[in-house]
Order: sequence, then structure tokens, then C-alpha cells
Amino acid sequence: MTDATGFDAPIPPAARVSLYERSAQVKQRHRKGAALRYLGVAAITLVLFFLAVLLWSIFSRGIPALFQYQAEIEIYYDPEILNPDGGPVTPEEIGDVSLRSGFERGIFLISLKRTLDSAGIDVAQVVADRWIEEAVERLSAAGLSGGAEIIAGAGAPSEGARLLGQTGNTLRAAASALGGDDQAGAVEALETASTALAEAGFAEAAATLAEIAATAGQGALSDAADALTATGYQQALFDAAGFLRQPDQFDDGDLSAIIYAANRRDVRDRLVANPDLVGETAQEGVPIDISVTRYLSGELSGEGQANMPPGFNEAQLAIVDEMVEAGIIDRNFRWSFFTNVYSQNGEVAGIGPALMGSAYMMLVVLVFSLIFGVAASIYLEEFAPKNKITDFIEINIANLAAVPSIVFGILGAAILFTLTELGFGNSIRGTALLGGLVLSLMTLPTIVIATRAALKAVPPSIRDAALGIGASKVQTVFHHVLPLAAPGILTGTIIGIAQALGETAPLLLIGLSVSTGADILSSPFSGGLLEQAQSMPTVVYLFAQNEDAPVREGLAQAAIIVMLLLLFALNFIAIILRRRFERRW
Amino acid sequence: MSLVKLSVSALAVAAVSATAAVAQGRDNVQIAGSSTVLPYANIVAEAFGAETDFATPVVEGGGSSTGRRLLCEGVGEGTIDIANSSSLMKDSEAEVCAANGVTPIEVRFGYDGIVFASDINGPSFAFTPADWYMALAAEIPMDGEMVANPNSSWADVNGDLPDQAINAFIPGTNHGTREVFEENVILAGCEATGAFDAMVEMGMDEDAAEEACITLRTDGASVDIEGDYTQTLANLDSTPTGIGVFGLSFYENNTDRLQVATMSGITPSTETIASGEYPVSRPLQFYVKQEHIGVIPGLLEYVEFFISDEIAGPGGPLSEYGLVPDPELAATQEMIAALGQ
Repeated sequence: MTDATGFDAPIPPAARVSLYERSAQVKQRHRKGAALRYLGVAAITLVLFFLAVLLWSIFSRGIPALFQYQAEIEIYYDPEILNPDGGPVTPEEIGDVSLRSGFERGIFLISLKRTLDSAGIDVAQVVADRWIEEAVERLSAAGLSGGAEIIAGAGAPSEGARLLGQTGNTLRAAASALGGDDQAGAVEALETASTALAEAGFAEAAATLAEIAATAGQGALSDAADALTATGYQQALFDAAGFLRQPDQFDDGDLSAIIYAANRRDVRDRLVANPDLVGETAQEGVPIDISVTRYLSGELSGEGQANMPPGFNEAQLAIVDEMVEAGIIDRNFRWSFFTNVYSQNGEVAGIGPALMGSAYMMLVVLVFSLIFGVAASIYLEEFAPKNKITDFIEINIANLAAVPSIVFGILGAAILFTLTELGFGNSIRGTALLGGLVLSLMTLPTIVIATRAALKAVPPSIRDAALGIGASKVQTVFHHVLPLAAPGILTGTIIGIAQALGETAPLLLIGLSVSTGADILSSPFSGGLLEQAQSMPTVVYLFAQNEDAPVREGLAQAAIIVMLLLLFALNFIAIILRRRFERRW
Repeated sequence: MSLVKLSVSALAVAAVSATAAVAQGRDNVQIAGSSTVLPYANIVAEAFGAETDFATPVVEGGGSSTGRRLLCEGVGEGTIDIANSSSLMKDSEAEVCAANGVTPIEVRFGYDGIVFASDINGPSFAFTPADWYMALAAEIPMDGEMVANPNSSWADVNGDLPDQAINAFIPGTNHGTREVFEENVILAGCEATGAFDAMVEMGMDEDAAEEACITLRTDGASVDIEGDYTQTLANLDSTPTGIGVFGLSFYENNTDRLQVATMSGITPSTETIASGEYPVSRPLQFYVKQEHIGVIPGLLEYVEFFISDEIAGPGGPLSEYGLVPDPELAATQEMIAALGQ
């Protein structure tokens, strides 16, 4: 045998080393130890960094979204809109008024106008001033100074637009003349343009044009054309004229776009219930359009396309500025977020039904998985014989705990399909009951594992003592073992429920990801479990894919914050229970 | 023990109310389907619930083909009433529908423009369909044979475009948009460049040539986005040199981040799409189950409300959100009015 030689080899004598001196081996060991410590610190730092980034990105966006800008408007219930034919307004007539044309475009628009009026804001003037400012800025950027006086001198902005447009036309004619061969004609066109600029009041530009005309007169037509293009006068004049035409195009739609007043059934119902309000006024906070809130919060500066709230223009923002100045706009905590239903419109969207749906589902999960989980664990732990069958069950419960959640969704869909065949399906699809049942299946293994661990932790001496003084097996379990294991069971249950709360995938397949049609649920004892419900994670998903950036990057995070707080609260309760009641042996 | 009692009674209550609810008929309209139509359906359903005394319809996403499959499953309260769809029903689906006794009625309510947009801080683009074909085709014909697409920059494709690497984020094959993109952009470009004719000359039959036209490169220059437009936008954020394919309404709601490219010199807008000048758009529609009209309360009223001038017409909330109104809306209204009689 060759390996026997290993035994014959002489053992080397132990090296003589001082304990005070570190050998290479010891140094290496210390290095390894230090490296491991640094790696550990680095790993924790990295984890903390990512956690900080996550929390920062959620809270920095979610917290501001919990506040809402509102316009304090004097709502005037105008009889003329409620009854266009004149005469007294009856509740029936009010009930027939269209929310869109009668209330949103009628009452709220008129009320906004009245409020602006009484605050001393002249909308037409603000709009005109803003566009004149834009035009002057555009002109002076191209070196056409004195625009303000010229536009003011022309009278109405549309007159200014005409003047600038005509001047621009002479420049365009000059440019096209320079493109041809006719030198005399080009010079003449340039001189006409120069005169037009001088007459309009742009003295410097007129002088520049005269110089270009001189260049053209010397035969250098292409040089002159380049010089003319380089001035940029033509484009600036046309742009400014375009700005000055804007005030005439400003209409009621542009004004009412600033506030959100759609689907105000509450107002109509209020009027039907109390027709005496017709002709009266009442102060009311109306949400500002959610894109404009990005301007109000300073996220968008309102200058240039990249900083303009989508769908709005400078003049509308100028009105918003005036409203802020007049104190009409204020910022309030958005309580409605917790009670309103989900809406495509971020101004009124809320998580009311979703919060309730999730709460109801947790209730169902609590009831089902606690009963079945505890029953299964007690049987397995206390009564079942230890044999291959129970081993097999045990392994499968452990496996079940690791099954991806979408699998349970498919299972739920299969249950639903079977129920539909039996004629039950439709009444249970999309309800908190079905959602709760599916989530219970998912939570059950977690609870069984936790409960069995808690039962195992009760020392056998308790059981022996109980049995010894004559208690039956059932009495032993229910009077002694279960109460002692209860804190552990509850902790496991709460952690299981917290996990179920955030689960999205199974719910997508069983009709709980609806965007409309779910309302605040009634109490679980009067059928609330069987109403169309929403759930928190699916609503977060709906928010996150909304086309409006403030919903996608604000309300989604706000809903996540609510969900995180719920999770923290649940985990906190679990910790308290453990601290309070846990017994150690 | 009281916990157990409480849970048992809760279970009993649930069971009783379950049986009670089965006896009642369904009183809300149920809708599922396209994620492109979803925002419009949400807006209409919310307004319908507020304006009328009917229950707010239940709207769910899931995708165009899922919606149509659910619609065709059969007749009865356990099946949905309306399938939102951004593409037209296929013949095979119509057969399934007919086999299950379902008569789907197609209701077109408007158009969705498909726009090409890039980061607002980058250079601006002016495309033609030919540019997109040359940029994204897997193989292009060159001197009588098919060669792998050699273009790596937009300037390679067309000297007038900025010299920027080709990074296109296009809708995945699960999107209704993809079909329109292939049909109106890639195939149109293939024909415009003469590549189609070249392929036919090389001996391909027309179907094979068409197939070769719309086979897109897979070397990373073109990325399929399976999710919705928010995902395309997220991709543009991380790759600012990319070009994304979006719906018009999405672009209009995100003008602070995106700049839109012209196609064949036309800037996409509700006006240019409605007039047909802008070449890339698709009809949006929903399919109503005829058998449920008159059975499910509010179904016909919902459809009438959806296509009314006040909602789907110019100036209505749908066009404010970015829908291109259908010029033939009146004909659709007549068709639906005839159903109600």
C-alpha cells in the first residue's frame, strides 16, 4: 500500500517560536479575521445604504402627495344654469342637470370667475400681460429692443401681433429676394424691410438692415442673405406675433382646467336635498389640477417646455400665480385620500376601498388560517403518531411555505372556475372573502410552522404534570400547553398576515385588481365580505402605471407609506406580544 | 376560546350572506381588457357611476386578447359584458365566440396615435417609416443578398438624423400597438426603401418578403417592452439616447419629460391624426355582448354614455385625456341606438 508510507515519514520537530512574536501563520489569521470584519461592516453599510435610498425615494415623494393644493372658491349655485328656462328650480330639474355641462362647466366655472373677480384678478389682463411679457422677451433675445413700448403703442395685443407679423413679412420677402438673382430687387426689399422696422420702432434693427442692404448693393448677395439669417429677426418677429395672438384664444376651458370639478354628484345631491341653496353661495375647497400642483410645489419652474406642467401654458400659470398672491390657494392635508375610491384622476383618487378590502382580507386570513393552522399543528404535534405519513405531511408543509405566491393565485382561479360551474362564481369573484381564502392558503404553512415550534417549546414537564394529576390529553393540550404556546402562535400569525398584506400576484388572477366599481365596503356582518373589493398592493400597482407623473410618482408612494405603516404596526404588535407573554424555561 | 367562537360565528355569517347573495342578480356592468383602453374606460365608468343611478361598472385590465377571450367564454352573469380592445378581433376568436353563443358587437370610440418620443434634453428627430425600417430590420437586402443590419447610429440610416446610437424601445408582441407599428411603420418603410421589391426580385414570395421586412433585429438596438408606457419611460430615463414608442395620450401627459418626433414631416396631434395626415394610429374599440343587453342593468346605457358626444366627442373628457375623437362617431351612435329598440 502506497499510502502507508505517510505513517513512516518522520514528524518534523516543532519549531521553536516565541509566544511574544507573531508568526506568519498568526499574522495571516489576524488578517483573515480583520478582512472578515471589514466585509461584514461593508455588507451592512451597503444594506443600510439601499434601505436609506428606498425609504428616501418613497418618503420624499409620498409625504408631499399626502397634501393637496386647493382653491378656496365661493360656489354660487346659479339658478340660470340649474334651470335654463327660468322660473323656480325643482329638485327633479336639479337631478337631471348634467354633472359635466351643468356643474363642472357651469357652476364651478362661474364660481371660479366670481371668486377671481372678487379677489381683484382680471383674467383677461393677466393673460395679456403674460403673453406680452413673453413676446418682449423673445424680441429682446434676438436684439430687437424696445418691444414693450411698440406693443403697448399698437393697442390691443392682437394689433401688436398684426404689426409684428407685417414687419416679419417684409423681412421674409427680403430673404426670398436675396435668394434670387435680382440685385436691385433684393436691395429694394431690404430697404423696405428696414423702413418697416424703423416705422415699427426697432431703430437698431433698421440700422442693421440698412447695413445688410449696403452689402447687397455691393453685389455680395449670399453674404447679405447669411447676415440676414444670422440676425434672427424674422423668426423672433413671427414668434412674438404668435405669442400676442394667444390672449384672444384663451377661453373658459383654459380657465377651468386649473381646477378639478368633475363628477361632483355630491354637489348635485346636496342641492336636490336642499333646493333652498339655489342662488346662495358657499365657500368650498376645490382641488387644483394635479399637474399644476407640480408647479405650485416648485418641482416644475414653468419656464420652457421641459418645465411646463403638461397641458398648461404660461398664461394659465400666471393666473395661478395671481391666485396664490390673493391667498385663494392653500395646501391642506389630504384626508380624502383615505376615504375616496380609486380614480383615474389623481386629484380625487383615494385608497378607501383598498384599505378596507385589505383589512377584510386580513380578517378572513386571521380566522381561517388561525383555526386551521392551529388545529393542524396541535394534531400533528400532540396527537399524530410519528410515522412515514406524518413525516411526509411535515415535509410538504415546509415545501408549501416556499411555493411562489402566483401559484396560489392560479389555485384561487381554479377554485373560482369550479365555483362558477356550480353557479357561485360570480358572487364571489373579486370579493374580500375569496381574496382572504386564497391568501389564507398561502399563510397557512407559515402559521403551522410557527405554531408547531411554539408547541414544541412548551417543556414536556408541563404535559407530564398535567397528565400526572389526572387531566385528559385534550385537557392537557387546551388548558396547559396551548395557553403557554399562545404568544408564539400569535407572533407567527401576525408575521404571516403581514406577509399576506403585501401579496399582489394571487389577487391579480381572482378579480381583485379592478380599477373602478369597488366602493367603501359595508360591515362584514351585513355582506361586506361579498362586495367587490380592491386591495392595497393592486391599487399601488394601478397608481404606479398611471399616465400622470404626480400620480405615478406621488400617490403610489403615499399608498406605499400607508401600507408600510400597517406592516410596521403589525410587526410592532408581534414584538410586544412576544415581550409581554413569552415564557422561557 | 372566545376567539374560536368569534371565528366560527364569522364563518357562519359569511356562509349565510354568500347564499343570500347568490339569489340576487348582478347589478353592475363588468368590463375587462386592454391596458391602453383602461384609462378611458376608467374615466367613463367613474362619470357614468356619478351621473346615473346605475352602479359604477367594474373595470379590470388584463390585456386586449385576455378581455376578448373572457368575453367569448359564454353567456350568463358569471361572464363579462364588455371587452376593451386596442386591436380587432381575430377570426379564430370570433369562431370561439360563435361556438359559445356570444354575439360581440364592435364599438369603435376613437383613435390612438402612436408617437415616437425621446428625452426632452436630447436632439430632436424627424423620421420617415423608411428610417425605422433601416434602423430596426434584422436583415436588409444589399447587392442581391440579405445582410445583417449594419446600421448602428441614426446618422448611418439617414444623414439628416443626429449621430446617436440606435436604441429603440418598442412595444412587445403582447401589445396591440406592436401590430400597428409593424404594419404602418416597418412594413411601410420596407416598401418605401425598395427593400420589399428587392427581396421579391431575389426570389422570395410576397409573404416571405413581408415576414423578412418585419423581422426586427435582436442585437440589443431594439428592445421589446412587455409592460406599459411607464416602463418605456423608465427605460428612456436610464438610456437618454433612446427613442421610445408611446401612445399620444401618454406623451401629452408627460410633455415635461418627452419630445415628440415628426413622422414624414407631420407632428402628431389629435388634429393631424383625426384627419389621417399622421400615418401611425389605430382604432380603439370595445366589444359588447349582445346577449347581455337588456339583461344586465345599465349595460346599454353605459355604451350609449361612452360614445355620446359629451364624453367621446371633441372637447369631452376622453379627448382631453388624449383620445383622438372618431369623425364617424355619429354612425356608431346610430348603430347603438338601433340596438336599444
